[in-house]
Amino acid sequence: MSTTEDKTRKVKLVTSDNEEFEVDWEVATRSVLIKHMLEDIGESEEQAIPLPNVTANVLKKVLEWCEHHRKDPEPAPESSDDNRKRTLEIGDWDAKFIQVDQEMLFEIILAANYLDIKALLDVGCKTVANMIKGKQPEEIRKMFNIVNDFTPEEEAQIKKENEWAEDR
Amino acid sequence: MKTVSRLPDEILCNIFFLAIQNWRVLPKIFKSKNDFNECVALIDISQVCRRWRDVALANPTLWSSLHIDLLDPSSKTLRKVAYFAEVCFARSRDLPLICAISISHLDNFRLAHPLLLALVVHEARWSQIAINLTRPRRQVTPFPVFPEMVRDTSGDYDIHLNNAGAGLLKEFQLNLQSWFSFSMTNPFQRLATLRIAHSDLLVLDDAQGTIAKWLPLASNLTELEITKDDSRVSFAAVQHKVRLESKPRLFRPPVLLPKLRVLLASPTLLPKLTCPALEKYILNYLPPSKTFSTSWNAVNPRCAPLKSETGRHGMNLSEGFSYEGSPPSQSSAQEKISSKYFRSLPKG
Repeated sequence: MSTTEDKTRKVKLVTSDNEEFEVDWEVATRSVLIKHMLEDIGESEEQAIPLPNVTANVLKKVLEWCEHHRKDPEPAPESSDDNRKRTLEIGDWDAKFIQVDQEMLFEIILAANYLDIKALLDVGCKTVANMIKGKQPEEIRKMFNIVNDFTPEEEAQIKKENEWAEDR
Repeated sequence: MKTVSRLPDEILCNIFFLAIQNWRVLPKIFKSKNDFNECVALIDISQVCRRWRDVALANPTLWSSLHIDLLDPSSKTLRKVAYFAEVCFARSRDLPLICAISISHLDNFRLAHPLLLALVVHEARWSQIAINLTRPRRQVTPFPVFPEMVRDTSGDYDIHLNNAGAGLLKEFQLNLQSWFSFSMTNPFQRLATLRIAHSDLLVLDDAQGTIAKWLPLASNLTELEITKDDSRVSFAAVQHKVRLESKPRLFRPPVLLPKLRVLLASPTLLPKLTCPALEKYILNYLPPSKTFSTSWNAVNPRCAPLKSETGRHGMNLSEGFSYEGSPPSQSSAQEKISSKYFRSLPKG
């Protein structure tokens, strides 16, 4: 539970490329990882939080998202059925926010995963899912620069297994 | 450079989950949930590269819900779909299955036998299952004409259930009860919704067979539909014999369904049921009021008063009953239960 004092507090974050960011406690604690680290270090305002897996340009983008969503309610705990209930819908602001090049998209996803920001991770995953949806394997490979590493035997087996789908 | 290959398996799998979420407009099939994974989309995903395939195959949840919706399929398509279903069910490992099979305009039901068998092999994992097969009808103005009668007593196409759901079954719909034979003895503790269509082609009334087979095992039902299957197909050599031998059970006392809230059944079945929590009784056709009243009077003392349903048109058909909705035409009444109208007792 956050207090009024918490909300006015500033938090220092240090990226892997040694850039320092000073942000509001409310913004920083959209990240569960940072929130827990702050709880661990207590009241010490001077102590910077090291984020060795995030570069400055990515953190800047992540913090932009956190700033916009600073007042959002805490996400509900996941249930076993969550995967079945989710849709691919993304809010307008998030959709615009995530219009970035592929490299940044995956950087944001990895950062959101590392920083434990579920809602941002969700936006990133939905974006990739939307990119995949309805595409043929070759199109997906081309889009993400993925090498087809199946052996000819494996390909033949997969083709046989999925024969019926060719009639779709 | 960060690429998709850098994503951990867990995130990749999450993306697959999202990518296969159902995006087609499907009819409402299950009461509690109607979300199907598009397992077919997994075929494309699992052909991208070895890692994607490994991730897709490693997660059984991706493969545990399947919706097969076919219109006038060829025998080749049905064979391939059966194979695909086998692949999906195998990859779903031991997870509960959600599966809806809907095949329309299939004149030769035998062609669907391999697909149904593929599903029945995993009957112990059934959680939500809907099987609906319909034959084409010739449209002769003003009414559709029923298809030719098909009776096959060879036993080659018999489908047998002996442990459906194994305690997992929550919803079950089957519009071809006459095709299936049953030897189930374990109670369906979780079964809340049961929709069965029976055939009148056999010597004994199949609706009473439905009651005898299912209801004593399904005491937690909240919704029950017993309707007629008009596909005019029978593969039931064994079942016929069993029914004849079991005639005495027809004289059992009414089956108690203490939690049943919604019932759709012929008025003639009402005396076979005791439903103290019943809130809504539904008919999908307009019965002769005398038959209905007689049956209702027989069952009513065992039912709690139904919740009052004020008819939109307020049309009283007989004493104590009101009517809601537009009467279905003869054809729509034969088609499906969806265009319902119901009668219910005013409270108290």
